[in-house]
Amino acid sequence: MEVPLNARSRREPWPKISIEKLTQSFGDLTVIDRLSLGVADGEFLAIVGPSGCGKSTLLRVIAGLAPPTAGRVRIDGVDVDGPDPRRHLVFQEHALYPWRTVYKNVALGLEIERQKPEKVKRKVAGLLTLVGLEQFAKYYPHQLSGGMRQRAALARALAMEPDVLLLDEPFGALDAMTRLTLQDELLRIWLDSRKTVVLVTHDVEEALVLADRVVIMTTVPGRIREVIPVTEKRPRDRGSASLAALKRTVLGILGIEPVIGNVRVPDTNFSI
Amino acid sequence: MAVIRKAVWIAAVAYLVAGQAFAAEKLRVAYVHVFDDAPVVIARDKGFFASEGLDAQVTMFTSGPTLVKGLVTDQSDLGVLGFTNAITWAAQGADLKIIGKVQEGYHSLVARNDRGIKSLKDLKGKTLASQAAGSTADIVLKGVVLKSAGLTDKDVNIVYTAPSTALASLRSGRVDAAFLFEPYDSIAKASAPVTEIYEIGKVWPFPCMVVIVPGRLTRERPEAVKKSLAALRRSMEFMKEKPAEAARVLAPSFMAEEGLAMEGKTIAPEEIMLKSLKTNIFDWRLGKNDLSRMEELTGVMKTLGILKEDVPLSSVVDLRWQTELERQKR
Amino acid sequence: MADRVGTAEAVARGGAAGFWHAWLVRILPYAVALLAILAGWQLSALLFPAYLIPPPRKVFSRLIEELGRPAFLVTLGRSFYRLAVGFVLASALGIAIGLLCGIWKFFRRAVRALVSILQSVPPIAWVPLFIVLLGFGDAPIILVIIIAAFFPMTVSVMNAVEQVDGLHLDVARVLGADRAQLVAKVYAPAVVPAIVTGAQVGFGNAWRSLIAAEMVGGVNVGLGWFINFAGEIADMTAVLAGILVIGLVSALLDGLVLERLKRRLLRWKYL
Repeated sequence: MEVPLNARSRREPWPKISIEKLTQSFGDLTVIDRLSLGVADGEFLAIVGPSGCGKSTLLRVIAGLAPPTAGRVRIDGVDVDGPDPRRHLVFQEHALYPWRTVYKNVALGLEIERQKPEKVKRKVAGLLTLVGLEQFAKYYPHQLSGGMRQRAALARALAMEPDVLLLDEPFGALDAMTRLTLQDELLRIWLDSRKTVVLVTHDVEEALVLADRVVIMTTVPGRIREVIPVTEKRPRDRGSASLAALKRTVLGILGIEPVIGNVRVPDTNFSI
Repeated sequence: MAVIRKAVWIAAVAYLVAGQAFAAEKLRVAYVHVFDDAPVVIARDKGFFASEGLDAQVTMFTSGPTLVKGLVTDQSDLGVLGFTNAITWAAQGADLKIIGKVQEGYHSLVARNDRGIKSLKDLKGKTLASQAAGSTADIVLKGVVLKSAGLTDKDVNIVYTAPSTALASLRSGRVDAAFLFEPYDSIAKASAPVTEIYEIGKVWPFPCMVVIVPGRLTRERPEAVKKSLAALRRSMEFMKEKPAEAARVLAPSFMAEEGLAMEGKTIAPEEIMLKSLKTNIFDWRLGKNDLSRMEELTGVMKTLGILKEDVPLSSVVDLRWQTELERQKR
Repeated sequence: MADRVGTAEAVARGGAAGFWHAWLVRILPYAVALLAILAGWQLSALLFPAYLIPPPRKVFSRLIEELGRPAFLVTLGRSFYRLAVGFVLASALGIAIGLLCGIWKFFRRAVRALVSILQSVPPIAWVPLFIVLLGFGDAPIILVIIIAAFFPMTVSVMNAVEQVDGLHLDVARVLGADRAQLVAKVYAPAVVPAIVTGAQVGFGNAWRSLIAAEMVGGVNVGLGWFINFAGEIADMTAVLAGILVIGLVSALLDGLVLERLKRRLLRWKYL
């Protein structure tokens, strides 16, 4: 389905990320089928959909970790041809290096860029404070809880000051309460810096609470089913009626009958 | 009826008793796989053990020190090996007896022609292949041969290997010289550019291979001891009287591997055997000279640090059966 | 923030209570095992004549006597020299080949095949061949040690490189790492635990092969040679003293040196 490039941006008239007729196949399996999408600069875009519909693959292609089978992906008008710290991908599994302390993990990107040690120190300290881990700088990942590890991963991402932040179900492995806390954190950070964010999530409510637009994807092959704009001002009230209505809409498109109260999209394969 | 049954009974008993008298006595004989122990092979293959009424189970060992462990742990009844092995174990408290001789020490020191070794003194700083460390040959090498040239085992780089490896190393030039006995000595001279610079039998004859038995055997089965000595004596007489036939009997045991090992030259195994028979001195009697040599060597072992205390020879040597056999000259 | 802190009980139990606790947990099992061995030994010594199995007391005093003798120390030193050279070479070779295998698929398959064929040959079976090829002395022994210690290291490193978490590599790539940085920042640290375990296994092999090779022949110094010679001259006390040295050295080198090294390098796992 062709989606008109949303020109409602804050700074640039052209989309920051431009995905044009992207097809991604692995052998015989087509995971993404002629998908087109534009993400404006400074926009917070959420992508929801059942498992296996290619959401993660889409992020990997945008990040430059996998070359597109067909079609193109452009950032700032330039084709993506490899990974770059300016578009950072945060994985669901935190992927912190177990042999490095929290401090050293966050500093990893800066190390790779060969930044001066004093600069690194300042930056890392600031980031740790930002995500609330300043007390745990010398700890090792296996000593931390899941939520703390994910926060460290976020700090690591932010250290590179990326223009584009890609998040692949970053809070998927965490318990409900931690998830809510970290959603608020993410929102706070984004409101501060206004980076372009693409968030992939199972959690419809999470998408609705955080994003400017919610893209609903179908499963194999992955295509865009619908795009729902969310205009309410952030921070949004989770319990509000408008949010609940949107949720029913989204779930309806996904083919799920909501039960009174909060419903989470289960891990099932739909064929629409 | 009763008479027949009685007769059957008597016949059965008589048969068993007679059977016992004619049954061969079992004896576990051990020897070292060297030409010095040829008399044991002859005794086995020509049936001399059997004709003395011994059912000999003959086992071969690769070295004297290995063999003597079998004597000490009651796995062998009789062994033919270097006499120093009895001394070292007797010094530790084992009950072993030397009851007769088999061979006088023949070891020749051969050196490669291209290493500039003309006499023993020239061995200084060179590499020499010897046999099992701690064996009689080794003790003689260090305490007599090298000593006569004023050398110690620190002056010469001695490597301990099996004789066939020593031979191969000598041929390939990995060692400069080797201390060998038959038949390796003759093979070396026939197939490698070496010269003999010393032969101990010529300058310092000593009893090398002797018959050693556990003390227990002398007390419990004296007849077996006598019979085995008699069998060995017959072997040695046979080897003297019919060397050609002896050579034929011995060739398969001692030349099987070596027959092919000569580069380019084909020498009949029996020829080597005959040569070895000539150069070795086989004798079954321990004489006064032998005993005094043994005393000397015991002293050498003490000097080399192999023996910590003195071992009086009289406690180890027991020549009663030798004397008996000498008296009953066949 | 109601986050709980993970297993951060790195704070040791303080003071004397901690010391006794450590003693009970770590050292007592060893002590019990050793006592059992000594008891068994003493029992055998009672059953057998002293020239076959000397009692523990005699062997211990002989050991102390030998340690005071320069000739013995020289012989021991030679064994250590061979071990050091062989083990270091084997480890370096193993790490290098293991890393190469991780990076280059063809090489990995070839080495895997080679390993499976050669690994089954006991290292000391090579001694006679090596003596013929290299002559007498240290060289054949060192080569045997290299063979014994090289395989565990190679296999360990090779597996670790293969099993490097793809996710970790992706993270590094996303952060802009080039090839060299991938090796230095992801592969190398991920492989360190494998190097340590490879070293520990390899060391055991190396030590055992060293002694065995020295006993097989071609040398005239060394701990293995010492034991062999003592056996030839009916000196069972020295034989057992030599065996004692083998056990003690192995325990010391592994327990003190290698184990310490492991804890240093893998601090992050044990905190």
